[in-house]
Amino acid sequence: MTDPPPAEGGLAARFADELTAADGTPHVGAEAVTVALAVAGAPPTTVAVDDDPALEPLADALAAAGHTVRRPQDPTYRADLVDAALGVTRCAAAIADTGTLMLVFDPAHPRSTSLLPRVHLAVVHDADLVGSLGEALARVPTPPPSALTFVTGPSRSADIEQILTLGVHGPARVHVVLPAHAG
Amino acid sequence: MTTSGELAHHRHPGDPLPPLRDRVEATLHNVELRGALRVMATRFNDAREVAISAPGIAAMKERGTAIRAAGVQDLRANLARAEVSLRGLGVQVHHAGTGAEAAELIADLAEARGVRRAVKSKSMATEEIDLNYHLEQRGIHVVETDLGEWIIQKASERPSHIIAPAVHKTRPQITQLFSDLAGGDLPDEREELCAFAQQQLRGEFLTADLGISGANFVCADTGTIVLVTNEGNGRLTTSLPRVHVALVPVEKVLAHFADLATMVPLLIRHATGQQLTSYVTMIHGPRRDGELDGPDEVHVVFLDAGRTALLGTPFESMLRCIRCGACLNVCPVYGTIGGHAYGGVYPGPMGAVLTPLLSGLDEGSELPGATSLCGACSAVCPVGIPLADLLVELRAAVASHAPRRTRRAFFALWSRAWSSPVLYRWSARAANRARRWPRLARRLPVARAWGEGRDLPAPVPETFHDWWRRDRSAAR
Repeated sequence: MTDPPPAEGGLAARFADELTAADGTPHVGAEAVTVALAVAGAPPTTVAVDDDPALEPLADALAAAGHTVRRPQDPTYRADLVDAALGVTRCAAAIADTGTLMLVFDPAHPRSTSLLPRVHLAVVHDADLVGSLGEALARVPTPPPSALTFVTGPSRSADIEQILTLGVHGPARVHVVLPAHAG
Repeated sequence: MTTSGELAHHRHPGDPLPPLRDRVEATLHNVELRGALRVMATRFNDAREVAISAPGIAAMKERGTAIRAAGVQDLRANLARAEVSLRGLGVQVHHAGTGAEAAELIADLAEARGVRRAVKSKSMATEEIDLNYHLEQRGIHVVETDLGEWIIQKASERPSHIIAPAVHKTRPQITQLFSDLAGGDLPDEREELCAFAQQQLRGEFLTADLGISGANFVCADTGTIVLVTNEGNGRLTTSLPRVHVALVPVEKVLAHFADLATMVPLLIRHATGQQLTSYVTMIHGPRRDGELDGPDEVHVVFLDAGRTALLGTPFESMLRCIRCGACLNVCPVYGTIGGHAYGGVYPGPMGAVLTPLLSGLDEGSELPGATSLCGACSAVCPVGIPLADLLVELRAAVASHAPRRTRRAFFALWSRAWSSPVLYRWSARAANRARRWPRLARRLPVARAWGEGRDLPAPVPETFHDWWRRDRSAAR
């Protein structure tokens, strides 16, 4: 008897497969900066980036490439977001079973960054990856944040002719940068 | 004669409703509707079958049933705990005994805060209390933001499915509707139509002072308000306006936050067949210091409207319902007549049970009879509600609530007759003779309505008793 083989590719690979099935785009082992530059489109566009230490290099690179980069500490952040081409966030957890991002909101991580722009890019680190929804729920901080959202792929609707259309109110495209060799 | 178009029209509680027979007749002649219903049933049922055949889902269904059964049993205690948790998070909690009270309360609350414009995410509870009408009466501009709900709001219609409200609308109808709104022809293409709606609604979100939602669940221990959505309008509704009001039917309360790990995927797999919807949002009170978005005030209005009265009755299990819509999708009756023919806000098997329970046996008394009792609903229900059994119970309740003298007399007479061998034999022979008159069923004076569309089974040329007597005398 041999032990059953470990799930192929581990959590990051499972996350990537499930995200693809949910019409999102995974970028396994890619540089977050490279992906951000690719999905922001030709400069100059407005890009919103959450106030997160891990996202600083990315914000700098986008600004250097000629994009208008907005941060939550900017007084006009909310208004600028309405016309932003891209919103970039981290996540509090990433659920491999379903390709789901758990976004926990606070002053540095506003709700709108992942909601108002047409494209959402999330950067997932090794330690963010969990297997199931239950494991992610166990990571919700105490006291709980004013809001958190589980995001599985882009916004969708089948209200016209019962055929799927992406990007009805929320982002039409969701890109996720995943670590290459995560457990 | 009622048409299916008239039937789709928005009606307010208490508005006269054409008889069930006319409602059904109207929808049966709508070929487009029946085509759309077939597509819908196939799409939802195929997706659900795949989603619930995954390993572990049978156990999840058992856990979900236990969670809901226990939650309903302790409903009053859970509600009290939820209220304490919500207040602890800074949520203002209100209670409404009736739908009218809830609508009044929300309208007063909006008025007191100078609300001029409101956006709504999809909520069947707000349909139940006719909230839009009440807010409009106070001069508040109310906009549905779920694409399907917006379509039917613009068409002055009502939802025909609890999770696919505009399933009865065709693309050409929607193109026409949106073109009228745009004041010019829009291309008859799905993407273009969605883009038009999104652009119109984005403006509404940015100018609204009030966001109104329902709730899929509220957790008693943490005060979490849970919204399960796909379009993102639920997130916008609860993030952008300065006031958020959630109308929560009391049975939506779960005892524990940890129950969500079971209940959220169970609901979604049975509703749309997804593993998770695009968005599952959890709210814990108003925005905190320093936050850029989120409402300044969050209100929860708990709606009773006949629900706690079901506790301890044979119908208590109906309070477990999580509104996934699976019973609609598998129901042969719903699949033939669609949602509007049911007349109330909730259609299909769950509606045929809930409508008479919530609005009284007079209002929905015909609905439990308009079911096939095939049991497909009971089998698919993710929280083990014995819908078919409840329909039978309700038929009995309706019969004893409003006894019909002629019907009772008829059955009493029949029972008497068939208790007597002579009369039984005579009636069998009479029925046997009746085969000389084809299509007799629809000619019977008392049973004409029943006989319409039916034929009596062709009787054999000889009754069993006659055959037996002949056979035995031949043997002798």
